[in-house]
Amino acid sequence: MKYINKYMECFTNIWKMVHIVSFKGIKNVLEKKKLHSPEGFTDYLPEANLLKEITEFNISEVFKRYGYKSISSPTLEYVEVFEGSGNAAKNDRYQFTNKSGDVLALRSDVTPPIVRIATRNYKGSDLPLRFSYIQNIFKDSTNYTGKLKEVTQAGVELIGNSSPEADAEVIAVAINSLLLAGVTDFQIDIGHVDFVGGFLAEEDFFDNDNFSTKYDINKDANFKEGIKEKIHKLLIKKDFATAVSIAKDFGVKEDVITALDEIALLSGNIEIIDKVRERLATFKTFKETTKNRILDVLSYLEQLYKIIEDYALSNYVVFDLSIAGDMDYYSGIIFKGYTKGVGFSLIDGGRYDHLSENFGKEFPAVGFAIKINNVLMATQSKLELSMKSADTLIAYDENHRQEAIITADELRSSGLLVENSFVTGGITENIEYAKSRGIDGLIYFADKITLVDIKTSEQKITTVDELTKNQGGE
Amino acid sequence: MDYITIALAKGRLAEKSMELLEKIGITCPEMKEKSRKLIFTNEDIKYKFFLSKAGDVATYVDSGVADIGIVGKDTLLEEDRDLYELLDLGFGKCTMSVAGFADIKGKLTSGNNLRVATKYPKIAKDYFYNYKHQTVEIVKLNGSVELAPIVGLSDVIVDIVETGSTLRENGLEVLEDICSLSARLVVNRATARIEYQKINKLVHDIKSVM
Repeated sequence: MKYINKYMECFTNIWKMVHIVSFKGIKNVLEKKKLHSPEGFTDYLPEANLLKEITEFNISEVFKRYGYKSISSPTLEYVEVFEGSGNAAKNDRYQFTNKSGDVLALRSDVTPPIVRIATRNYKGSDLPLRFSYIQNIFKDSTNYTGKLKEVTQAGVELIGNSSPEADAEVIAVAINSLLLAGVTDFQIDIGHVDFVGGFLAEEDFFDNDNFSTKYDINKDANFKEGIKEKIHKLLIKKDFATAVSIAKDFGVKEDVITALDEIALLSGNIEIIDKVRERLATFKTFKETTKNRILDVLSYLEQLYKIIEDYALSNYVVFDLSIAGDMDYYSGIIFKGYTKGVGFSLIDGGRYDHLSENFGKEFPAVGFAIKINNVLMATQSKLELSMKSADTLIAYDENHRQEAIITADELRSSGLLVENSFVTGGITENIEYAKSRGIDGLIYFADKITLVDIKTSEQKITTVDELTKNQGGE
Repeated sequence: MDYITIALAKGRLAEKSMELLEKIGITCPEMKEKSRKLIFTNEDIKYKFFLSKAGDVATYVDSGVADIGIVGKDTLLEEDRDLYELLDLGFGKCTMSVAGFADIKGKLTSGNNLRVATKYPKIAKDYFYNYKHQTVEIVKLNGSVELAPIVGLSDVIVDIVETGSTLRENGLEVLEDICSLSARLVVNRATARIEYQKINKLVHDIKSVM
């Protein structure tokens, strides 16, 4: 009954509100729905923003210590910068035309603009370049999936070196960044595009007898390439089930089907490399060139692992050989960072040696992006922040304003957080206000200067000299 | 130890899924009791289960609140989420088809501005626009799609067809097949990697009884 009364009260209140609103002319604004941020875009209030800033600051410290220099790219680029370098699975860029008819796009990925900047402003002799960034990216993703359309990424790009040492350094920076950001329990999954790619490049991909008896289709090369491409796309989408069934349907040879079927589960620590090596030897129908390609990838990953061991960071590393490369431009290792309790990756990274060719140069490169919003999902509950508005409240009666303002500024320049009081009334009202805001101290300027310790309610008469002098000692 | 949470699509698919999981020792006695509970737990094996509408299974697994989902391919195609699709479970087999009255067939191959009613606008759009390169007008319905051509709301429908008996009883027939469908085992991307030992074992076990 109580509940129902409450409910009815609620209902009448809403009714009242509608009533009031419609008569006060606010109606228009409400109907235009302009009171909230657009779907997928979020406001960061002081607490959330502080957490975000601290996280970004900590991460950028790690970048700096490894010699990465912070740069910024513009929010808008010509759409061509992103074309052919996008997410293989989806096109969800915001794009529009300007007055001169150019198609512009909001930054949907930080890497292509940075490669553009590197190739336009630097030459071969400037390499290697170490760039870092903290920038927002925009994606016009599907509504109602609970995903943000503007997120912050902090990342690095190491441009101009294609050695395993470069790959290892970037992975080490990634691990240290997550650690300093306060993520404790995470893993970095490393894979290589040429692992899945190596199997798909097998020349004898089809069981030719099976293929021709099953299908009344021209066995032309294009058709077969089309099937391969379809399977590759499905692997990128992580749809292993359909990839296998298509391979079966279209007469792909048994060994390839078996490999595709097993690839999905090829994760594990360093031992997986040897296991895969042994397993590979049991496949009879693969060409030597295919096997060699895959063996090369395995040795490379092993070599990379050894370097990460030298960084003493190998306990964060797991291998995931099923990674097929969700960005078109990945050309070598790919890595992702995950933590328990967050269903999305915290880090996406990889090597992209050919992206610079879109901009007319050959700068091999490797980099990663930390998704700050996902990192915050992992750390938010652990970090406790008390947000006090200030250390000290300064209040005054009208005859002592100048004295108060000058003293306040002096205290600020010594690093204190000082808030000017707008409270009308005397010292009692100001003490109340300071209490309600969690401010530690009050300095009240009248004929005498009163210093109040809010917690103990202790009051002391003091002078300007004493106040500013004490500051040094604190 | 952490729980593994499985989201199941309500109805027959959930029953079939539990039958399969029981075969590999993943049981949930609590689920068989009559209750209004929403989440069922098996403390012995540290598994949690919940039932939801098919379309929501993809959402739960995508966000990571469920680690594993068992759901039809039709839903996965329509929802188009970024999930690990590890296994075709082989049950819940049916076909996504274009259906309508037999005399519409000519218009289906040559005509433009065909009206298509469906619960699966995304699949219909992809099929007609990207595969057939045909201009169609898609009408989204929420159920009893067969009604649409009968009452004249649309020329054809795109829907899942199991036996085709509902179609036949209403004088409709399958005109084109879009793709075959069945139940899939999907896993959240982070779970698939962090809990790879558990997930790999699960997949191996299921394969061994299939």
